[in-house]
Amino acid sequence: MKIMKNKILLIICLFSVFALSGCKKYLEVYPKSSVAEDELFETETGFQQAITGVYSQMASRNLYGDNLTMGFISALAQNYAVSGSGVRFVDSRAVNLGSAEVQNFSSAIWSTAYSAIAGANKVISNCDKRRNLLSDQKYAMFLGEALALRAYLHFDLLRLFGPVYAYGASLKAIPYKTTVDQNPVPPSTTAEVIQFILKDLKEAEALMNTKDPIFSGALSRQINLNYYAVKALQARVLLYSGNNIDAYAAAKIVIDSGRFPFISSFQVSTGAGQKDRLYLREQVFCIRVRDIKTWVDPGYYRSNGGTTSRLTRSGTDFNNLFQTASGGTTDFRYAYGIEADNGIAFPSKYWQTYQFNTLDSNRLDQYVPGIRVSEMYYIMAETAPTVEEGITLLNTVRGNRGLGNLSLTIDRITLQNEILREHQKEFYAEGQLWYYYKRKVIAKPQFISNSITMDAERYRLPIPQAELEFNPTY
Amino acid sequence: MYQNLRKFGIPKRLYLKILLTMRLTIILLVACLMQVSASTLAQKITLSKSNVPLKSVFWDLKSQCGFNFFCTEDLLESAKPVTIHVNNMELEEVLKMILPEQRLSYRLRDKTVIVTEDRTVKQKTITGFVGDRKDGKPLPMVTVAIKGTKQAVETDRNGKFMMSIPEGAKALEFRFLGYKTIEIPINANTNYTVYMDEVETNLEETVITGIVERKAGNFTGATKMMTGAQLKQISSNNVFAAISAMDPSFRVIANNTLGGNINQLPDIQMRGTNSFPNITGELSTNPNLPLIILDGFEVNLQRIVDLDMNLIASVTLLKDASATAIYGSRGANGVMVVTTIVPKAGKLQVTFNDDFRFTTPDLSVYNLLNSVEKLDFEQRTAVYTGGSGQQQFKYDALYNERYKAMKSGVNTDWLKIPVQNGYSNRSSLYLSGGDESIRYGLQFSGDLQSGVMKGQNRKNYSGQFDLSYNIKKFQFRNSMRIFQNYANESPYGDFSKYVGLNPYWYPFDENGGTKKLLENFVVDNTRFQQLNPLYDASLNSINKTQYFGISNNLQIRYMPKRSFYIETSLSLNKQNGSSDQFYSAEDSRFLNITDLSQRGRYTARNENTLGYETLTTANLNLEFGPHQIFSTVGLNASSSSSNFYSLVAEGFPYDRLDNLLFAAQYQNNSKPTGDESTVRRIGLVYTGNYTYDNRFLADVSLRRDGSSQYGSDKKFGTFWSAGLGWNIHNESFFKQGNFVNRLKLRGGFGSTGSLNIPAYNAQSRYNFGVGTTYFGSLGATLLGLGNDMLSWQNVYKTNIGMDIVLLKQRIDLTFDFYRENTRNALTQISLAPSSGFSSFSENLGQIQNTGFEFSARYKIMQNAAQGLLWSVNVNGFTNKNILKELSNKLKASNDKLDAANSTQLKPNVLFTEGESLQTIYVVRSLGVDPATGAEVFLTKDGQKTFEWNVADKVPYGISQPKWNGNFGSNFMYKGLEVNLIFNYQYGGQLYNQTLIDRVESVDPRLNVDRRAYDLGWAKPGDVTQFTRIGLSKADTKLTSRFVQDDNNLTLSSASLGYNFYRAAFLKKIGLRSLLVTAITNDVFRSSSIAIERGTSNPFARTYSLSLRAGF
Repeated sequence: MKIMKNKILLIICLFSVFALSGCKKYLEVYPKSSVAEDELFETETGFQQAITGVYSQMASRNLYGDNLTMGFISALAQNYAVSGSGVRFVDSRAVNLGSAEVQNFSSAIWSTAYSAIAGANKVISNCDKRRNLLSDQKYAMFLGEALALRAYLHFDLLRLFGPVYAYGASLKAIPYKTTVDQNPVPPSTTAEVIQFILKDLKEAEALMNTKDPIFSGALSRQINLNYYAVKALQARVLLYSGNNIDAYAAAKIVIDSGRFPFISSFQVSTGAGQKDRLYLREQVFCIRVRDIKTWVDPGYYRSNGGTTSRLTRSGTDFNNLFQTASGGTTDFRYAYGIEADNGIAFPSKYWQTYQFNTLDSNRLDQYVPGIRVSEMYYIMAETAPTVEEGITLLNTVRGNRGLGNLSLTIDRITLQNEILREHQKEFYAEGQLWYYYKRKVIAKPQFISNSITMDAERYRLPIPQAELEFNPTY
Repeated sequence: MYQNLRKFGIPKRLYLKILLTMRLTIILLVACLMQVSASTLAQKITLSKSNVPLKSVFWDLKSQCGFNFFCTEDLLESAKPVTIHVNNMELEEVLKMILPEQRLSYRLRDKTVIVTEDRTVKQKTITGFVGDRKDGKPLPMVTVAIKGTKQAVETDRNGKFMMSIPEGAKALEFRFLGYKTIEIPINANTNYTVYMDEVETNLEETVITGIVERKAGNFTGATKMMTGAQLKQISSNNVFAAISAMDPSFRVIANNTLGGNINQLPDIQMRGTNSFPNITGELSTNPNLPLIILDGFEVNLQRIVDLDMNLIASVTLLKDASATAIYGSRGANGVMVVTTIVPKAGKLQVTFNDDFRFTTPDLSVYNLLNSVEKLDFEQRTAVYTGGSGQQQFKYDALYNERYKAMKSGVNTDWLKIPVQNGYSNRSSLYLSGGDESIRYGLQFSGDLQSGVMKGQNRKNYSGQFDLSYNIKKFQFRNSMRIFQNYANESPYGDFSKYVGLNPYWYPFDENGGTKKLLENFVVDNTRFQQLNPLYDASLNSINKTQYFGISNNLQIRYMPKRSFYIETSLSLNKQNGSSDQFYSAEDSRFLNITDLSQRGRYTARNENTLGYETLTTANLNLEFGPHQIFSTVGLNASSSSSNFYSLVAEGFPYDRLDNLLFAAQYQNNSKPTGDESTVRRIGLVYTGNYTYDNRFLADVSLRRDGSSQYGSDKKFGTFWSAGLGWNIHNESFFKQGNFVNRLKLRGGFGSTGSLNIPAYNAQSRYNFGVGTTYFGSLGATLLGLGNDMLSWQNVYKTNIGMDIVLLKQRIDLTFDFYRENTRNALTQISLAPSSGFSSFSENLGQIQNTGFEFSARYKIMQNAAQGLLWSVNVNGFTNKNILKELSNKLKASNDKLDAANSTQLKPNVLFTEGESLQTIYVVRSLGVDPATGAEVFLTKDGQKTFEWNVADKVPYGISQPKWNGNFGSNFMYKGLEVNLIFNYQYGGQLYNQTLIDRVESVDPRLNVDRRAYDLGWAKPGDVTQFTRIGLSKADTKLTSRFVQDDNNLTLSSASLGYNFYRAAFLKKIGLRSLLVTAITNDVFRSSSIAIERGTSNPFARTYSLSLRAGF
């Protein structure tokens, strides 16, 4: 009996030991309808998918798919003459920051952008945690792109919610998130955020330099934050923070690469089915929004709905905008970019007229612009050591848009004014115009209601209520 | 037998001859024959022996005198030892000396002494009755034996026996499986009435924890055990209602919306709320649901709801740490252990049960206006008073139309239209039989239920096969169950839709058809229209669910010694369910859709679950001297996975074509949805019980649990408990006297956990989908923020209890006092959106429940011999729930909840330290100002104001009753049994939504409660509870005016049963037993608050008739 009892005890003990050693494994259950983080980052494909996921969030309507390009932010920039109560974008057009409309847009942008940032941060932390899984090439590209994404998103949040740099470099701006956890991060000052962004970009640049497939001509890299997009973003950030010399240098690298040639007049004027309305090859970075048609075609830029709710401006306004009285009629952006639908003029940048069965890779619609090469010219023109060089640079763009040259003798103020006009024409319904207005703290943007006077405070979107509530450090 | 004969040298042929002469009927008597061959004759005997067997004396005699001795071995064995001292004596003299005192006689034939029983000894015939001590019912097949002999008879079906006993027999012994063997001295009586007690292994005396069984007398935990028969006496179909009638700490939380819907799962709770409520709607199951164990394995609530009550052998509630710590991470909300009946040994027994139920809707809480009153009310509330003359003309025309309808006698009772009297029937058949080594049981059950809403029904079919097999030290048991359920929801939809309809509307047209519109007047280009909800109900629609399941439990026990056994069990469960919803194209929900391919909708969902669980235990029971130790070590592993798919299709132009296949397309912009979850657990458990001299008791349990649901840093947790008890009645100073029969003091402390979170909540997960692609490549986006530290919420339980039995078991008392502290309470907290996520599961906060429960029973009359028992009983439960500690994050969520409710109409849950989770927060009201008719509020700091402000909310009541419980009486006489149970609830409050929805804040164009009839405040000076009732009226915001005491008394069960065990006709019609019971449930209800209950589905009153017949 005693022996048997011992035997049984032994069996139980052995069984327990085996069982317990297998326990940890047994309890690691991975979901099937979703993928656990540990599981996703087990392969290079998983890393790629995590980065792709961030782009897909950027392509959502809450961010660049709509709000931060053609929608909300363009309404702020007075691109649409909407009016009447209950009409979309009316409060945005009136820069009515306390309105529910603006608050809802702000909060949607805020939370989606930070959600995308969390996605980028997960990639960054896993790149180091699982360095051994990745080839040097992949490691550089994944980490570089993720850092660039983090910088890109934070920079736009800073430009939306942060104080104007010139007046508020040392004021509280936005939290710069580098980790993924539940703890709220205290907001950094504008200058600090700029520092963080530049640091991330520098790191990204170093990683991607020479390794980015764009160097070997892979233009499909336009839809990712490629090496040149990083340089272009640097130029943008540096200009925003007043570092003109470095901004000039960074923009120059993008232009000098020669990878983003200007569009030809044929491409912009050909039949509706093939027309390149977005000047795709000029995009240093653009975002692919595959299902853009579902909201753009019936909702935007078409003649449905009442006159006051259409997302367009009057013909007079367009004439003013493109200075048709002084040679602007030949401007590609006017001649081919303002088209009529049912007799009403609309900006046709986002019209989805490609044939239904066109291969995805051949389509020239379904994109929204991120960084245009023309912006690099504008940056250089603004920061050029001499006015003359600035005018020459601006004339390069004008020439490629079907406009005549400016005189090389105009003064700096006129040059700045021409640059502003270029922004208004070039970035119509793209969002960058509002950032320009903000950077320059333009008191009366074009077409704004006489009763509104913009100032540094009014160029700042409201921080969402939920953030103020659950981030006690705000 | 033959071999025995061979010992004595009898040839085989002779043996056969003897056999032939034997009376075969008396098998027991002839065990062996004995023959002694002769060698010498007529010799004198000299013998001196003390205390030797008779047999050896015969051997000696034979060797001395040569006579053969012939007698049955039986007689030899039952003979008393012989002491004999003779010298040179004749054989016959010797025989006469020794045999009479053995009550044996002899005959001499040839050379043989034939020893037989002494027939001349006086035989006495006795008769008797054996019954069950508990209820006096007869016990058939009890073995009645004369002590020390093998002579025995069995009682008949009426518990009666008759036997002849030899003189000198000292005592009778009554033996029956499952009952304590008792010994009765034989006296001058010839009629004996004996009551037997069930042995301690019987249910009542055992605590079935689902893992081990412990003697109740030696267990220190707080438990409550009920037999299936007891529960069935209270309710024939609702096991949860029956349990709560027996144990008030087990509460079925009444759902005022869903009422008596038979297709909804009840919300049950044991000993209060240990978890934060499910505010975000993200937690998958009710976080306070007790763990349910069916035959040793965890099952979901649905299984018990659909389980045939006739199969339930017992239900045990485990409450405190000592009882629940063996379930570790799952035990915090209490455990409900259900066991089903196991086949009994014996010849084939057939039991047939039939439960017929009749349910009527309880509409007594509704008090609406009739046609005449309603029109009058509308007039007075200015429904027909318009601005311009043209407008007034339209109203007048409308009024005239309605008046015409009213005058023509239209007075539709809309409440009666969607409801019905439900007829339900459940039949079950149970067959069992077998012997000690093989037993089998077979069960079939069909349960057809109808609800109180028309078309609402539920059908359960189940079959079960049990087989148990004992071989040497092994015991195998297998139980397989197959179950199928079908449920249909009423096509009439929500009951509340009908409550507001005006009585002057009539649903049918002249031809008896159903109108599409109840009212359709065009007056001067203005259309007055009202949809008829009956029209939708008359269309072909589907709203059904079904599931099919199969479960198998296998148990193997190896018992090398009485004191030690190893048991391993494996349970497999597979279930497949589906639900279908179909709306016809004609349904009013598609009224504004013109596209034919979008009218008509079908939603189909398919769900699969698969689970297994194993438990292996080693049990050692040691007894030495006064020490008793029971120890169990167990290892448990389980996995359960489930998945579902769901899709919506639309475009069904013709509603008879109600198959998914006829859909025109998937719903616009929809795609199939679904989800999957797998949860795995492992646990190592030790539980031990030590008893010293049946006086001092101790229990310890320890469990190490791991679960895949928790964060990678907190996968394992340890849970434990310790309990002490003292059986004071076993102390020597208490033994004498019959005043105290039992006095047990027990207490325990320990920690348990609870586990109700979705499977993957702790993990950071990525989602893939069409929406996450980017230029043709698949993207993964973060679904939620994982928490590597996410863990069980720990509930520390303290319990002190006392069991007292007094006055020859006349008084039975149990008290329990407990405190349960939930630490690390799981909650969803809101995050700053800059974290990238909106919410996060975290262990925060502390909740305390303190409570007291008691139950008492007093036997007013008891006479087991006559089967008479009359007892009264009362039980009660009180619980105080307090939020002990709140993190700042949780406090912040209050503001968010309030901010989202700036014009709050209904109470919501707020988190305040020191308050209960059930607290009702309202703005205090001083009532309606007689001068202005406006409501006067009090601000938080006591200032009077007319302005309602959400920030002025204060705690004003608690929706949980302070005391709830039951009292009742039970009367048994012979076969008759009467049982009454009242349920009381006292000291809770309720926000009377009826007074707002149906009285004060009404739309007078729809029907209202009679209390609205006098219109509330009308002119300065009116003192009334209500502000002005009229057409243009602001919503009534959350006010203390409508917080009312919710005290109520319900006759939850009244039953009358008769057991025909005494009836002679049973035998004639071939029945073994027959029991008929009539039960009514919830027939009477009295409440301090007049509120509409069962707003979507009325509550039901149930009348049932049960029949149980054994063959």
